[in-house]
This record gives sequence, C-alpha cells and structure tokens, in this order.
Amino acid sequence: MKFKKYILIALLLIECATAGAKDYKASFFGIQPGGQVLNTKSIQFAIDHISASGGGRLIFETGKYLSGSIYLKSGVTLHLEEGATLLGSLNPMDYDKKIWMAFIFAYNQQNIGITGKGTIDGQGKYVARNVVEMIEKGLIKDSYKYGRPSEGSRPMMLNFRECKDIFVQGITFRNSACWNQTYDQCKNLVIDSVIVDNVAYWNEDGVDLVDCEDVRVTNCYIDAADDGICLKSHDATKACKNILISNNKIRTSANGIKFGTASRGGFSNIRILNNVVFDTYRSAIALEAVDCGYIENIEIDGLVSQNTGNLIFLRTGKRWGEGKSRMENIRIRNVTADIPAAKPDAAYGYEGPEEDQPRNLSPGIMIMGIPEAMISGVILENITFRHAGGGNIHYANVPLQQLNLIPEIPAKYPDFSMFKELPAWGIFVRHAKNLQFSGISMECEKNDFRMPIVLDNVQQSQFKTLKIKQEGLKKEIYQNRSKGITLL
Amino acid sequence: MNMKKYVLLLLICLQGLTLFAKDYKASTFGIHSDGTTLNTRSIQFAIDYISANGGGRLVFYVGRYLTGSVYLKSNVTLHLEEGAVLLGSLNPFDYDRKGFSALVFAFNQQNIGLTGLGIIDGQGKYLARNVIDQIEKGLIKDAYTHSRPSAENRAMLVNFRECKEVTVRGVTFRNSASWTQTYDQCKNLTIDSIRVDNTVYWNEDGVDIVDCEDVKMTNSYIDAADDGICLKSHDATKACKNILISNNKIRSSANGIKFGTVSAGGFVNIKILNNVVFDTYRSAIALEAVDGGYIENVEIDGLQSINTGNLIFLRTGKRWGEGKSRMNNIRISNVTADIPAKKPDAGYGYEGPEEDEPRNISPAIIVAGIPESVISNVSFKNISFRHAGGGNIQYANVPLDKLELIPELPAKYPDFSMFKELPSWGIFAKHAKGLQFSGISMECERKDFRVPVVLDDVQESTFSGLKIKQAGKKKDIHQNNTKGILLK
Repeated sequence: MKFKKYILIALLLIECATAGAKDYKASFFGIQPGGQVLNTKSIQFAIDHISASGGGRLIFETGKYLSGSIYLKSGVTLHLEEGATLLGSLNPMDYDKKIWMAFIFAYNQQNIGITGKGTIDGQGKYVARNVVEMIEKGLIKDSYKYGRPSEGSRPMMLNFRECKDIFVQGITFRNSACWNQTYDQCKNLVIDSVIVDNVAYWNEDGVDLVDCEDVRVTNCYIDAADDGICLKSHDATKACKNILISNNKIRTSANGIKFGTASRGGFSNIRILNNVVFDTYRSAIALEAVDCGYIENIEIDGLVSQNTGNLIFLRTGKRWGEGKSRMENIRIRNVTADIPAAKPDAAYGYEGPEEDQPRNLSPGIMIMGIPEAMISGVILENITFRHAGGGNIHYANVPLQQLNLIPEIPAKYPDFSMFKELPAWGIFVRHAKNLQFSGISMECEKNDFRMPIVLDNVQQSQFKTLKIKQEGLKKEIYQNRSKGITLL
Repeated sequence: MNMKKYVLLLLICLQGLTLFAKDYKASTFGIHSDGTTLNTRSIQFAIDYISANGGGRLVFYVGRYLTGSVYLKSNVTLHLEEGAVLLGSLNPFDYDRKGFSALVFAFNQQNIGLTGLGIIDGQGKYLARNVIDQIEKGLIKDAYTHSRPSAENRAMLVNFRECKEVTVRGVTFRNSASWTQTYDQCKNLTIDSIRVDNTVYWNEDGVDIVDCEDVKMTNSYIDAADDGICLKSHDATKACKNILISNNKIRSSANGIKFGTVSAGGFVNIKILNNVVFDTYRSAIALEAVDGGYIENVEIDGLQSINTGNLIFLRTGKRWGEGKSRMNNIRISNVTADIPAKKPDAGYGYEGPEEDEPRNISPAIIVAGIPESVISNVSFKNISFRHAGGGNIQYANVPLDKLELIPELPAKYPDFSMFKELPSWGIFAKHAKGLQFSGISMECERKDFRVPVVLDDVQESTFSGLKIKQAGKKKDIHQNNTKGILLK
C-alpha cells in the first residue's frame, strides 16, 4: 500500500520533470538546415510557440541554420546538437538594434538556455566587412574611428538583459563581429563548458557580465581578441555580486579576467578560482574601479598565468561619475606567472595594438590607487613569477627620487600600460594601504637596472618571506612617502 | 533677355524633376539577385533610405529577388526592369499580418509606385501549401474551411491602404496565394498596363479596389482564379468614386468585373469602357449592392464578353448592415456576348466550383432586386448576345404561373447562380423599375422551353428594337405583376 503510494508520487514527479522539458525539432517549424535559407522568422515563431506552449527545448540537429536577430523567450532553451551551427546572416540589415545590436536577444525573460555541443557562428569578419561597405557607401551613419564600425553597428552573439535563471552550456561561440556575449542585470546565470573562439574582428570580448548576480562561469575555454571574462557595472545603483569564475582557460589580446572598464556601481563577493590565462597581451587579472564604483571582497585563488604582458593590475581612478571609487579586501593566493620579453599574443587574430614608443617591460604586479581612492586591504600570498627583465636605463628611466614624474592620470582609460615606464620590474604600488605580501617569489631573467619593488605612498603594509632572484640586486624595496611598512 | 528667362525656368524645372526621380540600384543596398538570399531587411532598408532622402526609384535589374513582407514608403517607386522578379518567400513566417498578410504593404503613404516590365511572383501555390503544413501541425490556428487556409493567413501580393498618388504600371503579378492586389481607401490611383497571372490557388482576385477615389484602371490583362477587377466598399461612410476601368482584357473563374460582395458604403461615378471578358465562369459584369450601400451612376460601354457563364448580373439585397441597399442609374451600351453550354473556365487553374445539382443555363441578363430595394433606371442599349439555350423542361422547371417559387434570398451571398433554375434564357428581371431596353438582339442556339424575357414586379419600363431568334418561340416577354411596360 505504502509502496504503491511512493510509485505514484515518483511517476507524478517524473511527469512534472518531463512536462518542463518538451523537445521540439527545428525541422518541425520548417527551419531549414541548408545554410542558405534565412530562418529568422521561423526560428522566432518556434521560440514564441514553445514559450506559449509551456516551454521546452528547440533542438537543432546537424546542419547550418542561417538566421538574423532572434529573441529567446521564457521557458525556451535552444539546444544545438553536435554538428549543428546557428549561423549569423552576413547581411547587417538582418540584425536588430535594441540598446546594442545582437544575434540572440533576451530581455526580461526567465528560465532560458542555450545548450548542446553545437556552434553559434556569427560570421563576424564578413558581417563587419559588409558593415564597412555600407558605411563607406554612406548608407549607415557611423563615427567609423580607426576604420572600424562602432560597436553599436556590429552585432554581438548574445545580449541577455534583465533575465533570470539562464543556463548556457557546452556551446562553441565563434566569430562574433563584436563582443561575444553580454549578460546585463541578469540573475542566476550559469555559463559552463563553453568554448569561445573569437578572434575575427575588433572588440571581441569572450564573456561580458554586467551588473549580474549569482553567476557561475566554469570550465570554459576562451580565445578572444578583446577581454576574456569581463565584469562591468554600467548602473551606479547596481553591481556584479556573488560570482564564481572557476576552472576556465583564457587567451586574449587584452586582459584575461577584468573588472571594468565601466565600473559605476560595483563588484563584490567574487571568487576567481583555478583559472589559467595564457598568451595574453595585457593583464592576467585587471581589477579597475575608475567610475566611482567599488570593488570589494574578491578572492583569487589558484591562478596560472603563462606568457602574459602583466600578471595583476589593480586600479582606482576617477573617470566617470560622482563620488569616489573604492577598492578593498582583495585576496590573491597561489599564483604562478611568467612575463615574457616578446609580445605574448603575437600571431593571434586581431592582436593587441603595439604601443607608439618602445619601452621597458611593465612590472609583474601593479597596484595603482589615486590619492582620493586609496586601494586598501589587499592580500597577496604564495605568488611565484618570473619576469623577462632586461630593463635598459638608456632606453627610458624614471629616477627613484623623482617618482612624482609618474603621472596620476585619474581620468585616463585604465590599463597596465597607461603609465608607460615604471621604476620596478616586480611590484609597483602607489596610493595603497593595508597590503599583506607573503610567500612572494620573483625572478628577473635578464639583467635589469630597476628595483624589484617600489612603494610610493603606501601605508601600514607587510612583506613576509620575500624571495627575489635578480642579477646584481642591491636593494629589494624602495619606499617613498610610505609609513608602517614591515618586512618579516 | 526673355529667352534667357525661359531657359533658366526650364533648367529649374528639370532640376526639380530629377530631384524626385533619383534612381538607386538594388545592388547598392546589398540586395541579392540570386533567388536564395532572403532580402526582406535589405529591401526595407533601401525603401526607408530612399524615402528619407527625398524619394526615388529602387531599380531591380535582371534577377530573382527573394523577400518577405516589405513596406513601401512615400516617394518611393519599386521599379522592376524586364527580367527582374520580386519573389515572395516560401516561408509563411516571412510575411507580416496587418489585418491581412501581404508581400508589399503601404499604409498612409503618398506618391508611391510599382513600375517596370518585371514580375512580382508570390510563389503562392507553394506558400499556401506551407501554410497548410503549419495548420495541420497545429502551429497556425485557422478555420481551415474546405481545407483552405483562410485568406488572412495567405499573403496577397500588394496591400495598399490610405495611400495617395499611387502608380502601378507595366508589372506582371503572378502566383499570389490569395488576392493579388488590394487598394483600400486610396486616392489618385493609376493602374496601367499590368498583367495578372493568378490561377495557382483559391480566392485569387485580379485587382481589388476598396473605397478608393479617382482611380484609372487601364490597358491591363488579367487572368485570375477569382474575380478579375473587383470594387468593394468595406466602410459604410466611404465609397468607390470616380473610377475609370477601360481597355482591359479579363479572364476569371468568378466574375470579370464586379462591384461587391462587400458593399457597405457605395459605388458612384464609375465608367467601364471597352473591356473584354472571356472564358469566365460567372458574370462578365456583376453589380451587387447587398450590404446597405448604393450603386449609382455607372456607365458600361463597349463590352465584349466571350464565353462567359453570364453576361450581366445586377443585384440588390440585404445581407449585412442597416438601411436599404440602392441601385440607380446604370447605363449599359454596346455589348456583345455569348453564353456557352459548357463550363467556360474549364481547364484553367482553380476552376470555379461546379454546382451540386445540374441545371439549365442561367439567363444572360439577370436584374434581381428585392422588394425593399427596387433596382431603378437601368438602360441597356445595343446589346447583342447568343445563348447556348438547350433548356430542358424535364430537367427542371419553374412554371411561369408560379414565379413566387423563385426565392427572394435577400441575405444570401449574391451570384448569378444563386436562384438556380430561372424561367427565361435571355433576360430575367425582378423588382425593378425604369428599365430601358433598346437595340437588344438575342439568339438562342439550341431548342429551349423557356421564354426569352421574364419580368416579375417590373414597373415603368420600355423595350424597343427587340430582336429575338429562338426555335419554336411562342412569345417574347412574359410579365407578372408589372405595370407600365412599353413595347415599341
């Protein structure tokens, strides 16, 4: 009797589970896999139909499915089987522009997803070229700086805004004409086991999370022409909160994992665990609070940085907005890195731009506050890195007694290279307090005239078990305007 | 001096002209001629662009231009060169539905046109099949009466509403899935030298003119599965006014030139000159005021009706709406016709439906009013026709002394065949007054038991110069409940 009851309950549960997971084949809606028929309206009809019928998965089996902009709706998952490619139209006119242009939109939807081992291919190189053609004919108005159409004229692959319960898994994103995927003010977002192969044009971030809460980005492989995983805060009243970024492998011609540049609201409770960043032009990790927002309670643990232009770049500034930017309570542990002499992203598509003037390599770790927004409470523990060194005093030189020559530039676009020449090869810190360095092991490969560590206006900080390997090393730490620095 | 002034004036005038006649090649806008690229959004962009830039022609050169619904905008003409085909998508979802579905829409625009010797091809047969496919899958909701998708779910080729200064010239319209072209509440409309080839599905009217004013419909060739040129009045406060229909050649599996069925407002000041109607299943001319509207001041001159099921069908009724329908002052002159024994549209695509019961051939001229809406002041002058005759008394018979057996059917869908068996072969008139027949010459080819002319409740009418040829004829005219009938 009791047993029967359980079976009944079990059956009911199974039914409930399957009720929410009804599968619909794309072909059922007349969606054509040949790669030539533009399926925009059929795919949209399918999404609308499935959403209105209680939700389910729209399954794309092997084939190329050409489409322009579509809108994902509540309860619907696009499932791309291995061998299925959702192919972005080459025609710029086939894309809608909401706030931005995109291939797949979702606004104010919940319980949506994109899954499967298939590919979403934006054909971005050719879309961008077609946009350029339209601009040059005068048909599309565009500022057209540097011979590039502005981001607003190039479709990204995904633009989800104010959505809840989003699941993106397994998909390969390829060849966007702009940023790859932007999640804006979304909640309960899982991005897992995604591959991003996005080096077909400029500004191709891998993943952009804007003011999102409760996010997991895990097990992804990202190769992006612009920032790899980029957290932003566009809205001063909102923030990126409760985010886990773990087990990802990232290659970029900008920064591996970045907070900013837009940083109006904030970033808090973010864990960045066991990631690998390689062959990356700028920083493996760049945390930037420059638009009067805050960055706080960040944990970075287990980072492998291979062949990157910079390891860690922390920056406050005053670029946009009212009030003061803030950065505090950052914990960075268990990091290995090497900073090479050669350009780390050489030969990848859409390489990071060379600087106008050649200069000595930037320090491995840079903590760059501004006087009115001191960076505070940063722990760096068990960090090991090699730096190519080779700093040449004839090439350029910022004398240690003239650190004031290094400009503050609080309103400038932040980036590890923004100060150009710096007088340290290992660690450069300015306008910071309550730093705790422990178990730092750093090696300078080629002869370098610079100091390993320079502190300028750094207060109440500690260095413990510092191991430095540099030919002809005279002094480990140079201090200026600093107080309460202890070396243990 | 004076001469110089004129030259200057002329130059200014020329400049003015060219300003509004700028030509844009479709290819400029990335519109593809390969027949597989869906150009909807590019064509729309081109139209919007040209409209926003002072107007001009969007010129399509030889090729097949696939598209879904587009919206024509003020001052834009789509010009299809000979060999250019604007090809409707096979996908029902590529069409918008604005009340009705259409390939080319225009709402509230002025100075628009469709010109050139090219083709607009709706691929309607396949489109309709795809609609059926979606209906049978349950994806599109449809009444699906007689296994036909309702007209709203099948795209017509052109739907212009509340537009002014419309020119349609030269274009061939082919294979619509529904009506070919509907002009609704338009003003200053010129349709000239077009060709309609539309026999691939049901309900394929050739040209529908709804509540339009100042229209010229000339020099066109129409082959349509449904009514050829059809004037309608959907709005009780509006009317079809000041319309010239001349020099057209029409073939239809319904009526050649028809007013109605929807006749809520009215039809006034309409000239129908020198047209040919052939191989047409129903009436060469059908004027129907059945929805409380009026038909008045209509001139039909120079009509050649070859192999049609009926020559002239005039009908008042009370189907929809409040008030009384009205028909007054109709002048019909210089007409030749033949009414065959066989189905006139046999072998054409989407033939008119056979009647359930076989019956004798309807009279050539039917004037069928209702008691509360007596048809008045109709002149028939110089009308000459042959009728196949062959009426068989064993087959069916409405005795002349029981004319009341012929039903009034005021609310029934009007059509020359609505009364089924009638007791004359030449002319049947009921509930009419002020009819003037002169120079009527009619011949019954095969032996027929019926009277040539039957008048039932006809008042104050004259017959002059009546020539009737019929084997075994006993009398020319049978009168019932008539007064003031004058035979000269």
